[in-house]
Amino acid sequence: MQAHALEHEHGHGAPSGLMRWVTTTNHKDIGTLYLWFAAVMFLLAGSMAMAIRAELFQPGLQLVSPDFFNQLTTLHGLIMVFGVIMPAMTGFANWQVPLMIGAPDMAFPRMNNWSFWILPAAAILLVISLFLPGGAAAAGWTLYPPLFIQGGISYDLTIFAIHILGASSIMGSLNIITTILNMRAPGMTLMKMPLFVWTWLITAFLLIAVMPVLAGAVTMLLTDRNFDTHFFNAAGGGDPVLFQHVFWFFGHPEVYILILPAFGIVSQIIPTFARKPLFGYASMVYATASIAILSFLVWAHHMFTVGMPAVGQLYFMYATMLIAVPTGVKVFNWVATMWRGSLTFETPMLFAIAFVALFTIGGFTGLVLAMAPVDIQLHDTYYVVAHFHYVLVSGALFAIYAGVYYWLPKWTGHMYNETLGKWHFWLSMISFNVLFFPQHFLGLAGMPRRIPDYAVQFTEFNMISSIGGFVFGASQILMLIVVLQCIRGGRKAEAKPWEGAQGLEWTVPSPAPYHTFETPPVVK
Amino acid sequence: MSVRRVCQAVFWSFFGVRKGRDLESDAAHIKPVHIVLAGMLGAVIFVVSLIVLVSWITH
Ligand code: HEM
Ligand SMILES: [Cu+2]
Repeated sequence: MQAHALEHEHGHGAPSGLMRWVTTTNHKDIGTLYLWFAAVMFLLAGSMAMAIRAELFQPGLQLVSPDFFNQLTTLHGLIMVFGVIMPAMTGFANWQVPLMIGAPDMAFPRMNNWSFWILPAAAILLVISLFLPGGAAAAGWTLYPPLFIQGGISYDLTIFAIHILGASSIMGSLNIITTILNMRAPGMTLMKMPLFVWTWLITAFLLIAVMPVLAGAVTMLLTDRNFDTHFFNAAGGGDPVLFQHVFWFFGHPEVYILILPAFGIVSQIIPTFARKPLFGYASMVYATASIAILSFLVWAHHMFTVGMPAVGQLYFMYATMLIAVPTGVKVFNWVATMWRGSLTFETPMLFAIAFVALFTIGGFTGLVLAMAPVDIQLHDTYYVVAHFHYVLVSGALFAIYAGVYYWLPKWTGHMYNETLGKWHFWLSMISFNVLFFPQHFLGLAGMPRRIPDYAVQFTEFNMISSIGGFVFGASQILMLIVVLQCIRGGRKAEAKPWEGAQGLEWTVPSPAPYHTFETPPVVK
Repeated sequence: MSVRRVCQAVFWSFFGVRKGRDLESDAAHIKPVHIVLAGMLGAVIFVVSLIVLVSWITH
């Protein structure tokens, strides 16, 4: 559909076919590339999850060797974080930020092309590492030494892949910040920006602050592995715990990098389908900013079990609990937005409501884990796995789904199939809970994470969880079908397909023409 | 007045709450650089006071 728009508007002969995608500097093309990349990576990392759940269906070792199991959990985590959620959010930013602030494109279109096109290189490194001697990295997505220092060549490839992913994120962030600060349409003051733009602006600053930290951490791993340094080697005077500090100084802000754009998406969708303006726009902006700052001050809640003075434990415990306050304010505002609104429940709204409900559960289990004495029992158990899947799957991923359904009419010019969308929602919603809720019980009962085998008393809950997992996995095929159908045809979408929608993106036709806002709109 | 304003704005943002009306006057009267500086200062105060609190608890 865009190829045809291209012919009409591009007098200066842009390349067609494959070269169009390789050389493109158009924010919509690049947004589409990011989103498809995320989709492909989702299928890859998702099939790894299916293998993990199949192995865990019963106690004992059935399908995969323990070492391969650990490779699967490592790659599943790394790819889901860096290859799915982050690129999908960047895809949204590329498509929506210029449309929402009335800019013709991103500030640095060529750098934008480059930030996308180095991603497949990183993905290929991770995939080929599976086939190298010794298999892929198996030390967990957290890359902890000493295990990470002992592995083979694929560990170096993993480090390289992370460097590339980090470079891509930094370039993407520079682009997003510059676009938002310099290219807003006349009248679009900062405090009039849609919340999605705000959350991405703050996320981009977080990315610039912490990706270099991660790069430093993995570079130290690299030199420890290959050049005889001893940053993390106790025998050489180093300390493996240092790695954990550096990693989590990156890692905790990183979890907010994953969730803040999701907050933004949900804050666009709920007002649309509640037909009311967002409750407490100002406090939402402030809450986002404070979450960003506080996220740098709580990292050692991931390390309560490494041994820490009581003062340290108490500090990180209190600080972590306080960060939940601005998060709670946000949940309150979403609920207040829905309060007495005239609600309708199209698929984007269903996913957004599920987000509010289930993300809150994940927030509460986070608070449970924030209590140092409790965490000492629960650390490295399935309770942690349940916690972060509630915030990342029913949080970040559901927000991505909500956003895709919400903006698909704008992107493709067609309405998606609402019936299939609802099926996708209900199947995902139910199977997600069947998959992850029992994992709280497993964790409380003491089942460790990252283990291919378990004691027999854990069997029932693992079976339930695996069944939920298979249904969840299968349901995601529906999403693919809905999207492909919608691209190929369907009821024509109006410029503003949602009655209650607000914002500049709905003032351009659907599908959005290849070039938009070449003359900036004026915002009153 | 401006220092107080900035501090108030930052205090409320840590809590995550701000009245729309106050926000508009913030936006009109406060420079972003000041907010960023005050925010970082606020973060330092936050950390120091927590550390004082927990050292006092554990003396
Ligand atoms: C209310 C806010 C939150 C609190 C209080 C909180 C607290 C915690 C704590 C204490 C842990 C460490 C558990 C352990 O390893 O023993 C943890 C782990 C984790 N959290 Fe959260 N969390 C919150 C929100 C989030 C959000 C929004 C995300 C992501 C979007 C997230 C992602 C994770 C991940 C991925 C881990 C596990 C990391 C790993 O060890 O592999 N959390 N959380
Ligand atoms: Cu954390």
